[in-house]
Parts: sequence; structure tokens; C-alpha cells
Amino acid sequence: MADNNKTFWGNFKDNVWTNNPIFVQILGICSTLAVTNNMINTLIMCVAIIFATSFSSYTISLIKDFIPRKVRMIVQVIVISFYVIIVDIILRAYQPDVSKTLGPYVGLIITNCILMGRAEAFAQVNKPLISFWDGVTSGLGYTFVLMAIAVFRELLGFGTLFGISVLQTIDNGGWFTPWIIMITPPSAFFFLAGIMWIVKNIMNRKPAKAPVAAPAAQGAKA
Amino acid sequence: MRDSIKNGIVYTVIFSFLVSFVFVILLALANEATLPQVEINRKIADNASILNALQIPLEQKGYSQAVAQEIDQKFAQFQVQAHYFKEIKNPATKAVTGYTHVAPEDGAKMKADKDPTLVIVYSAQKNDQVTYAKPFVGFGLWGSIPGVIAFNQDLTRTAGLEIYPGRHSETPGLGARMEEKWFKDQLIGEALNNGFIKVAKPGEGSAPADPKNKDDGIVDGITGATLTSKGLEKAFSDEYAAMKKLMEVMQNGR
Repeated sequence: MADNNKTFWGNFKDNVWTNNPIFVQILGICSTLAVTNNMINTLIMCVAIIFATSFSSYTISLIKDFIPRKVRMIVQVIVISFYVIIVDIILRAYQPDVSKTLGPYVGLIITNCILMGRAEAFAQVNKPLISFWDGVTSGLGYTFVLMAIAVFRELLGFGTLFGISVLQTIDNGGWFTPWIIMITPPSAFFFLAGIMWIVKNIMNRKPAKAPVAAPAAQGAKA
Repeated sequence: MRDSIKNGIVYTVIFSFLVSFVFVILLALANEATLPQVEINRKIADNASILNALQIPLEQKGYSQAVAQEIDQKFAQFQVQAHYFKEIKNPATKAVTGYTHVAPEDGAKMKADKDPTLVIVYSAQKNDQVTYAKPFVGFGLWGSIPGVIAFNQDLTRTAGLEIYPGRHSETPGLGARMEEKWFKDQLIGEALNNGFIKVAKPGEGSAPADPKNKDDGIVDGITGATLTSKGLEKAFSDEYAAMKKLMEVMQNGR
């Protein structure tokens, strides 16, 4: 991968825009569809992903020189699972309502390709501190896309933003008929496709710098 | 570390074992540390739902010690008591044919063992009347719907409904709207027509539902969630039938 993601700022730009895990690397799509109909749940999922990705990348980078080649991915999964289950345990004990609403999606973070992707592509070949940062910025890239989708899905599907009523729905004596499709996963597909289209247009408008094509090809697919 | 050692079988096995051991131990410790709080959360959620169904509102929200104390205080104030029963099943058809009363200590043990034949009914004293609250499990479109349904003293009307948020799989914005206040409020004081409350499809021609009319035995269903609505309709009549039998056992058995 080009060295433009080894500095703190370079890494931030890379993971939030140039190589955004969702709209460039196309990773972590499953949870994008499932939780984004509610902004509070989305935000909590994003915080969980930032925490899990950063700490697992940091830990893996710390022990990378000791991991035998044959069990590399197994060890990575153990580390990732550890941090995700910690999140699940904390939510279940101290935020039980959130835990019930997010349900299985917290545990499914373990299977989110972004975490394994960053572990393989970055933490295995970089120092612990920058790996931690890479986890944070990857999580931020994920957050940026998910919150954008969630704004539209919650607003059009429920008439609320963060649970606060913005468009008065008919049931509450207002004028707005909620768009039920926004509550179901297919709407997230449409929004995601729309976001990718807009973003690629913006990216391709810039004079063709080599890095745009190459990093995507070296994308973090294990 | 020298590659030959690192990739040898002995080191690989020892390393894998150590890594698994360390992380699993840490997780087990974290789990043990939070177990008491999880248990408190569950108790509060269950008891708060009983009080909600009985229309005994809690002033505080959340899962803190203060809420647990308020629940205990309300249970004492309204003399909320649990009555335990065991299902009697026809061995051939496995259908439930009746119930026997079970002493509190045995009932508590059955609850701890998660005995599936245990049935609990709560009674409360409100305004010189006894109100009953019965936890139930209905079936919606995507899965089971655990909730609590309350009945008045002579089982002529329902006294309230509570659906446990997050314990069902109905679609948000559709079936999950059964958690909303407007839906649950319809079950407060609604008359039972021969033990049946119709959950009407909104706009159904022959039986328009007037939520303010508590004597017609009809409540509004949820738009776009016919199966969830019908699942609840069945749950209400099933629970009424069960309550009739349980009341007989309560009056005769005790």
C-alpha cells in the first residue's frame, strides 16, 4: 500500500475518504444495512466498531512478531472477538435497553470484514501506535457513511432525528406519512449506491493521480 | 524470533493455547464481574413490565438501585403477589388441559430451573379491586412475542397490556408498533366479548374500531402489520381461556 497512510493525517484522509472501507473497499456492508434506520443505534454501533477495530489492531500489532504463520488468522479472530465481546458484556450490564435493540448485531461485529481487513492489511505490517490510529480512522470512515445513511432513513422512515420528532407524523397529528421502505434494509442498499455514485464522481473529477486506482486494488481482502 | 522456532509445531501449539487461555480468562472475569448487574437488569425489566401492565406507573426509569427499590415499594403498596401453577398436559396430545396450584417455594424453584410447565399469575390490589397480570408468549410474524396482559377481577375486561421491548422480532415501524402507547392503551378497560377481543384491520368495513368505545370488544390493529395484530388477537383469547381455568384453581385450590 502506498505510504500515504503511514502518517497520522495521511492515514486519516486515506481511511475516511480515499480508501473508505465502505464505499471504496466495500467492506462491512452487512451492518450498514441492518442498523442504520435509527441514528442512536447507528452511533452506538459505530463507537463499538471504532473501539474494537482500534484496540484489536493495536494488540495484533504488539504481538505480530510472535504469531506463527499457520495460526495467523485464528489468533487475529481471537483478539477481535475478545474486544467485541467486551463491548457486548458492557452494553448488556450498563445499557440493557440499547443491548436489546442492537441484539445480535453487536456480536456480529466479529464477522465485520473491516476489523479482519485492517488486522491483515495494516496491523500485521505496522507499529502498534499507528495501527491503533488506523483502527480509529477506519472506524471513523465507517461512521461517516453510516451516519449519513441513518440521517435519511430515520428522518424519512420515522420523521425523527436522534429520536426527536422533526417531521410530525400523521399518527401524532401532523402531516407526514412515514416511508415504510426506509425502515427496511433495501433502502440502505439504495442510499449506499447513491453515496458511492456521488463519491466516485467527486474522486474522478480530480486530475488522475496514480494512488486512486492502485490502493483499491490492494484493498484489504484477506 | 527465529522463523524456524516460530513456525515449528511445538511453539505453534503452545502459543495458540496461551493466547486462547489469556483472552478467555479475561472475558470470563469480565462476565463474572457484570453478572450481578445483568441479573438486576432482568429482574427490573420483568417486574417493571408487570407494573406497567397493571397500570401502576413507575416514576423513575433505568436500571439503578433506586428503581429496584421503587419497584419493591410499589409491589408492597399494591400487594402484588405471585401465584404459581403447573400445567397439566394430556400425555397423548400434549395439549394443556388444566393447572394445579404450586406452593411459592416450589414455584420459585421451578422458575430458577426455567421449568416450561410453570405458569405465574400476579394479583394486585387496586382501588378495592383485584387486578391480575399474566405474563404470556404470543406468536407474531417473525417469532414469539413475550408480554404481560392484565385482567380485571371478574375477567370481563382487560386491564392493560405490556410488550417487552427488544424480546420480539417484529419489524420496527410495523409489527413492533405494538410497543407504542396508543396500541397498548386500547387494552385498558376493553370489554371481552365471550373472552374475545377483536384486533381489527384499520378501516375494516364491517367492524370499524372506535378506540374510545371500550364496550365493543374491538381494538385497532396496526396498519401494515396484519399478522402481528392477529397473533396478538389470538394471544389475548388464549390467555383469557387460561385465566378462566387458573381462577377456578385459585378459588378452589387455596
